[in-house]
Amino acid sequence: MTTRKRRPATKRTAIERVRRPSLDRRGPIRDATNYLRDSDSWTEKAPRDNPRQEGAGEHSSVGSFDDVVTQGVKLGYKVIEQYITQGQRVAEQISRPFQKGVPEAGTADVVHGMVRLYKDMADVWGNALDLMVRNPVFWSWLGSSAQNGVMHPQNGVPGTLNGSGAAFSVEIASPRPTEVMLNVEPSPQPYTPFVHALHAPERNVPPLTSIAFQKSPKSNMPVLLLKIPLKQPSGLYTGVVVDRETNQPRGTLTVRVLPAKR
Amino acid sequence: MPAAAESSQTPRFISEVLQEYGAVTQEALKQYLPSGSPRQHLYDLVADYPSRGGKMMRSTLCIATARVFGGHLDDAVGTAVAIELLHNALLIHDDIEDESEERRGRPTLHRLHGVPLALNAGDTLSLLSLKPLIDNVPKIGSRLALKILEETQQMAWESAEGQAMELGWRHDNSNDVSDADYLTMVLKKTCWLGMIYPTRVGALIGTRGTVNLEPFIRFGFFLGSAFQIQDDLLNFVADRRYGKELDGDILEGKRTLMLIHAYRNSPHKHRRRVASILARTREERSLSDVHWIRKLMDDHGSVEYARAIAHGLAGAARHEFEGIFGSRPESRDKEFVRGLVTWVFERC
Repeated sequence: MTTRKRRPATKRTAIERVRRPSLDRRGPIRDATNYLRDSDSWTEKAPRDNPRQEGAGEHSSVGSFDDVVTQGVKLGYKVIEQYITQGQRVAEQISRPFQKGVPEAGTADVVHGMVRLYKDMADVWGNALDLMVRNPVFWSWLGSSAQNGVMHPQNGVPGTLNGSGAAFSVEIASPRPTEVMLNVEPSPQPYTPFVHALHAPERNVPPLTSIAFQKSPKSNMPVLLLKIPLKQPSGLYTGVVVDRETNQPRGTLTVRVLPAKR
Repeated sequence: MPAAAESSQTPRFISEVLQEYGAVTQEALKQYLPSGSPRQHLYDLVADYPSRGGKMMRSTLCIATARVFGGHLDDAVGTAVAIELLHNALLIHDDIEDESEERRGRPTLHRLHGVPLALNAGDTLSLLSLKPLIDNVPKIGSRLALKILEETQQMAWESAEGQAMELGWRHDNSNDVSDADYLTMVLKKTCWLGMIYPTRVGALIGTRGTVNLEPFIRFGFFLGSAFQIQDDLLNFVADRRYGKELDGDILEGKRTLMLIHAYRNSPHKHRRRVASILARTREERSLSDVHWIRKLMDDHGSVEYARAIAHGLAGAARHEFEGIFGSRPESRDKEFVRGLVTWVFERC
């Protein structure tokens, strides 16, 4: 590609700026006839100079309409395939370092990274539930009684449950893969859910106590927050979801902490 | 006569769908325009271009694609608003860079308020476009919202590169630009924001992120490049009824397919004169310069050449459309996307 330096503007006022003439129309004119009329002119052009003379460029201007259409399609595919191929090469280069495994790092970094990873995964899982409970097909299949057990933000009360189906999410901070199962009974009245603790079958295993139902300040939706301590043994933990005010049981919460994958 | 055949087949409801989804998007967009202060030097300017209307093609394409793939309108509106906000932001900056004088029938923002304030308003609109994408999180889930943000980042990146290519050609007065260079520039500058991104994010919303996105690059490229060449043609072949700034692209020194073709097929002495004219600033280019270049294009059949290329690209777009949308159930939204391929030749 040849270049030629632009001359500095020295005569800005010498020539009056060319301006758009005033238009008769008041809005866009969508009329195919304007386009159709000009399409006839392809074969009615005045004879032109020989474009190949004096080192003219790569393509001749002489050619039938169909030839140029074909040329346009071929050129278009060439450009777009080159573009996509280039993108694939870049993607391969970017993804290569991640295929070699985790780079050298301290144990704390790895653990923190894993906590973040599983937190993200839990969020994804929460999204999946979120989308599922928003799906009317899901509700028609599940039946109306099951809808009563879904958490729902009610009148600005954080994390209340009532009788209509709605979205909620789950956020888990865990050093290892964790599964969560929330099962609540139908209730005609809204209430604030609460879980005292989740216990393992073994008596010597410490219970999970960092459990909370909160209302997300961003989305205004109820969120189940669950934090698994770093040294928490793997296993199944269960507990009762109660009405915070009356302590009446409303359902169960089950958490399965899985062993770390090797 | 391919032009006649295709143009006459464009569904009449294209404009109806544009108006319908455009109105929904405009209504949602208003909620994102700040109403506080400073009004005079910022928020009035920010609201100016969006309030002037426009075709709303990009946002409508996003919503229609989402619906074709089974999505709900409500889930796509936020992303459609983001598209319009960013589009208007880029228009402000483009008008400054191109020294344009009018936009949608009124003086450009920088002519009304000066370049510094217009630039700042454009920056603000760009930032505002992020808000509906963040608000996507509770609507469609964080995973899908993040995916759309990633798409947005790539689109913005490509658009900036395309704009740099075109501005660079003008800055360096590059004239041996090839057709492939031109199409690559259009792919980045026009197609990504106008067609590729709206269809990709629309399909992501409709399928909850499970769709293969690569074919949308091809469809959007062919549709967008046909759109852009037709846009350039309107500027060159149009009579006054089109309402475009006649030959304005020559005045601005834009490297259009017609200019590239005419230059390539001209003898050396004419090439030198073209280069000399394009080396001047817009203020220094006279009407006789413009008319001479315009005649050069006529002599070399450059307008017809570009039109034929546009037809080929539109045909390829129709082919790619069938590959992506062909298996989807027939619907008004699907017909809309299909109809856009011929609509690009009829719009104004």
